[in-house]
Amino acid sequence: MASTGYYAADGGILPIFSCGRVKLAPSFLTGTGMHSHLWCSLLIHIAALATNLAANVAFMVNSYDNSTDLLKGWALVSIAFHCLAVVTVLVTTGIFRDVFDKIIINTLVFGFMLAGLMATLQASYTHAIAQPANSVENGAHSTPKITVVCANTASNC
Amino acid sequence: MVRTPLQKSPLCVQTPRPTANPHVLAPIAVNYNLSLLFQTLGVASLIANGLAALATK
Repeated sequence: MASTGYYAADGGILPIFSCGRVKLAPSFLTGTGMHSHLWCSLLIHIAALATNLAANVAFMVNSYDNSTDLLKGWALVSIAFHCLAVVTVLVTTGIFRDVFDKIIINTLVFGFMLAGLMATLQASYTHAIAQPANSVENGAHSTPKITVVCANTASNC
Repeated sequence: MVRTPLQKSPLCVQTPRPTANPHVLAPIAVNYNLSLLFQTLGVASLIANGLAALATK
């Protein structure tokens, strides 16, 4: 039995590579301890992080107007909180035997997640309204109403 | 009765629209929307997994 790392029910991190032979501990990433849930969660978070970094870094590299400083702030907040949230989930899942007992840590992680999500909403909204109304991008990837509401709430204006 | 117009708070500033190269604005907007989709899925999966684990505790 491993003395550190609690991804597996009996401790240890390597059992996540056991292809289902060793049972995993229940957590926010593994659900009831399913390997499929763990890898599905990881893939979703990697995709979210990759697209978030790509969008925000591409915007900041290509932006050439000082008037978008506020928007660059949102982009930075989006990157920072999203990275912080994903890393914190991975670390806390590994270091706590029963992660559900850590109420404050879990609240903090969901706070990070929501902060990242709200900042991305704001940046996404301002990019969406910068497109022509009849553009393909707005047609195929239209920003839903809830995005507008949340973004306006986030900007407190 | 004369009504005075409401003063706009100095804190209430419009978020500027992005002024990046127009050729890259559209791909960035698509990327932002994809990011939103995956982030929402990520949070939803965390909540679903957490509830499932707590239900069997």
